[in-house]
Amino acid sequence: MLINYLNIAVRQLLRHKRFSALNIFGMAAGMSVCMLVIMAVRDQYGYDDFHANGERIYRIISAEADKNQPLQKATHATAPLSLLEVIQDHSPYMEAGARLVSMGDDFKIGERVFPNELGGYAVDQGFLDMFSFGWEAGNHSDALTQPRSVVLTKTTARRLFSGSPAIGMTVQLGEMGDFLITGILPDPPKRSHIRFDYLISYPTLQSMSAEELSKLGINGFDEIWRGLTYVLLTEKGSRAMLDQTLASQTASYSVRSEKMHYIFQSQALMDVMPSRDLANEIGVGTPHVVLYFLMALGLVILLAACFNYVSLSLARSIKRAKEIGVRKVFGAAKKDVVRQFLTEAVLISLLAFVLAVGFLELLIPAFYNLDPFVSTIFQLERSFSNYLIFLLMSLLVGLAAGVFPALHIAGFQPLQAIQQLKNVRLFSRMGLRKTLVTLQLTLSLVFILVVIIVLKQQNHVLNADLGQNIENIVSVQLQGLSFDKFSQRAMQVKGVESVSSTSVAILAGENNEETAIFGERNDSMQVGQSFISQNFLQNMSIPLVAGVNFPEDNYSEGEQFAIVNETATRQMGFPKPDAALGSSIVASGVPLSIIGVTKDFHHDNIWFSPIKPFVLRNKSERAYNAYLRLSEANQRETLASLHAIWSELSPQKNWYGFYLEERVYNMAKFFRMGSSIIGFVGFLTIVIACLGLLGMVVYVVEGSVKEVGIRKVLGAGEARLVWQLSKGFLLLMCIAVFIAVPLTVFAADMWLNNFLMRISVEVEMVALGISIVLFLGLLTVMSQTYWAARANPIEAIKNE
Amino acid sequence: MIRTNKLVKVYRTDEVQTTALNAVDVSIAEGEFVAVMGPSGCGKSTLLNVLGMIDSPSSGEYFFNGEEIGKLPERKRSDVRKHNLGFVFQSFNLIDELTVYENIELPMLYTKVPAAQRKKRVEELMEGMNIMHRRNHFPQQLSGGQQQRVAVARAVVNKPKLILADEPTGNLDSQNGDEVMKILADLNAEGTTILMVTHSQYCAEFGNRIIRMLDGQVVTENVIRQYL
Repeated sequence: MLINYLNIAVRQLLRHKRFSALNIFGMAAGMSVCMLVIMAVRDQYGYDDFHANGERIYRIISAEADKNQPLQKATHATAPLSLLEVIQDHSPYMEAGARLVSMGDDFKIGERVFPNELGGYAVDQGFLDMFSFGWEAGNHSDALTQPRSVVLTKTTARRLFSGSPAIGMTVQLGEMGDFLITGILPDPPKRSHIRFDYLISYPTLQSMSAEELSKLGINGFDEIWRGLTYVLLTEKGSRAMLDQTLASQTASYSVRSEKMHYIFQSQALMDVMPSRDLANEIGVGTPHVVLYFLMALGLVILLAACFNYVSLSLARSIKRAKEIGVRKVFGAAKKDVVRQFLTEAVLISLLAFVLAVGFLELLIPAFYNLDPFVSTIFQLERSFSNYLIFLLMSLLVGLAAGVFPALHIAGFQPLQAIQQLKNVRLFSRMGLRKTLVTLQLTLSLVFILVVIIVLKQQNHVLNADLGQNIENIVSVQLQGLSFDKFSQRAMQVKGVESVSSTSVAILAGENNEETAIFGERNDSMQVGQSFISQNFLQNMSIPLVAGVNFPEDNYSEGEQFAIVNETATRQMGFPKPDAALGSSIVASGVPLSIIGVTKDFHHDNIWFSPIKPFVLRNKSERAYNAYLRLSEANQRETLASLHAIWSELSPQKNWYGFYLEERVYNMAKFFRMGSSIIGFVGFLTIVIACLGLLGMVVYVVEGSVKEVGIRKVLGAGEARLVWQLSKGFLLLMCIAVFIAVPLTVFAADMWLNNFLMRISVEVEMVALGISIVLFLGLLTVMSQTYWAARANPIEAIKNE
Repeated sequence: MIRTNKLVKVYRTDEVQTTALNAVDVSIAEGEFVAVMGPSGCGKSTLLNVLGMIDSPSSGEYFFNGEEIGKLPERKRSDVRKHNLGFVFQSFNLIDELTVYENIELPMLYTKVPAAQRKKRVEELMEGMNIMHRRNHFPQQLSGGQQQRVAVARAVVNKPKLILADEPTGNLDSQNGDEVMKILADLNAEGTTILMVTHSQYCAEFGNRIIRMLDGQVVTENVIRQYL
């Protein structure tokens, strides 16, 4: 019987090539997107699953805040470095623990220097015991127990020693001095949130002076910012026990601190990736919300493709009625007919599977090309298990899409069916199919409107007034090079208009928050702070609204002045900016007098972070970044000259320079990736919707051949006939517009509220979206109705 | 074999009610070859459909081999149908996507006849109907006469007790029509009961009784020859 079903199915496919092609193509398009989503989601959920003890490993995450501010959940992936020892003391259920402090410095072997190319961590010996990164050479059990020990990955060892034995050799690591190589590890797997080129022993840090630690950014072991802490529980240990200890430490740390309170929580290793949007996260991964969004998009597209199958199959069912009637007359039961149509649906879905796998090969590079950021996050794997899942998905899709038409068709009464179905009710004048097509058109319009709104919002932010002019500004990380030395040489380069310095790379993702004290009652506020050169404001075109710039000879009597922004003066309670002039503010313990107030300028993430109080100070020894303003012309040559100067002044360090504008643009990487993905999905949805529409139009046009013939004989013009045949579809499009527009505008408005600088949804944007859908929809409809209206009426009547 | 008692079939649309069968009483004995005649719209095809169990009566009783069939659900009727009845239609109603062989084989698939037996039976019939050389052709590649022979072969493949033929020669030229009628007569001679709707007096006379209908009622019954 199955052979008979397959025979019929194959012959049906071959006989009705256009319908089959529409069905297979539509389904394959939907499936391929779903396959891509499955690959991406499995990739992201597959992180860190190679650790043998992964189920028992937890990371300790934390948050701190002023005591007068509420603290509910951990916001940082890091935790105090001192916490691990305390937990170890309190908990018999802990098998191992490790802290990770990120390191990045030049490697030096003899005279050979590897400037800042390698990244690693200072870790406890427990790191090697609890994680399953493997081991290549050296003594695993005490490789990281002694200060000044380093373990290299295989690739790092090969790079540094070109294949000759590395164990027992010494490397110099920046200013920290010599380290003995005590072991070699395999390279960490790609799907590990902890990636490293080397590991130094944590006891190294414990052996350092406070000053040395400060150079590494470690200002005391109680700070929550600098290190990550992982613990491995014993088989009998439970997360609840760990949480209990963490709760007691939360209290203890908070009591110890005068101003701050803390929260410490556990996070299962398997929950680290996909990322939970924690600050100081070390793994690069997609946030959960993006993955949920991707899954929803995949499902929507697949459903749209299934709708098409249902719609086209119902359209075909009228032509299959005779066959069903005959089968039923000769003894076919309802279940036989259901099985036959399910076989056909599954066959189509399997063919679509083959085509979808082909499409997938085109989609994968397109996906990677959506944004450079995508390829750093996703590694789409063409694994057997993935393809097995795709195959199962295809079978399910076939069954899901086929079951409705199959039940419907199997319900035909044999007599009506055999009489060519004049009386078979096809869903009260195709109501269901109209609903499906309208739903698809609605979805298409929603996607298109979303893309338009997202792009407009992106451009709005990127073109917004940032309170400064960042055009043609190149930011250069000085990496210890004297700013004066660099700026003197840079100013001699043709095309460099001015050079200024800043300790914090403003607008480039850096931030330095401090607590500033002001006023008679010693009020405090969190401020952003940067040390700038005297010409910085002028160079960045940041205007002063009150007071003056730093004096030229500011250093003569030590640091005296600060310039603040308008927001700071408002927060300090001054009614007008000039009222703040001369008042004092204590920043990082230094009392300063406010000499000037700048107009507010953006200094942090321009998408979401509001302008906060900001203190500018003038101190030349904190000149970590040079901001160079270039003239418009010949920038390539100017940059080449600057490179040359850099190589000459700092031959051992890499050049890290970038256009500030580019950096601001790059800050929106998830945003851009999101809009690219929505655009991409929107395109596919409208293609699938148009396919559904096409199927329905073909059906309607085929069914109207006689009517069109008679009307033509009676004198109807072609234009009138095209209108006659198309108007019903135009109505569906209008319904889609009425549903999609208010829905999208409402949702978009809520979403836009998240932004600091937001657009409002305007009529032109909506009109553009509607025009696109109407244009494509009408093009699809009229491609069929036009030819039907032009057909020879005599042929039409004869055929009927 | 067949007996009806006041069989009524009424078709209703929103505004119109048409009585296609109006208290019809017929009985057909096993081995008979009965022709139903009458003008268009008199209800003869409706009678055939009801007796063929592909339509249900609005009221009245229909006994097939002594069992009341009229009120059975479609699933039960389908079961009785596939084991006892064969159909021949004016427009052949072959499945376009199946070959001659597969079309004839189809009813046996639903009665779960083993493959070897199916093959033997289908080949035997194709031989008998002189369509063996066309076994792998599709219906649209055959002449009308050949198509109707395939349809007849399909109707008898399960060796039904009763064949219902609705204008079996209506779409055929006289020569092909004659051939089909001879086949039906031969089948009847071998013991199969035949109920045939026709407009043609010539065809009707192949049978042994003619039932004449008008406006949904049986008006006369003529015995042409006693069947044995």
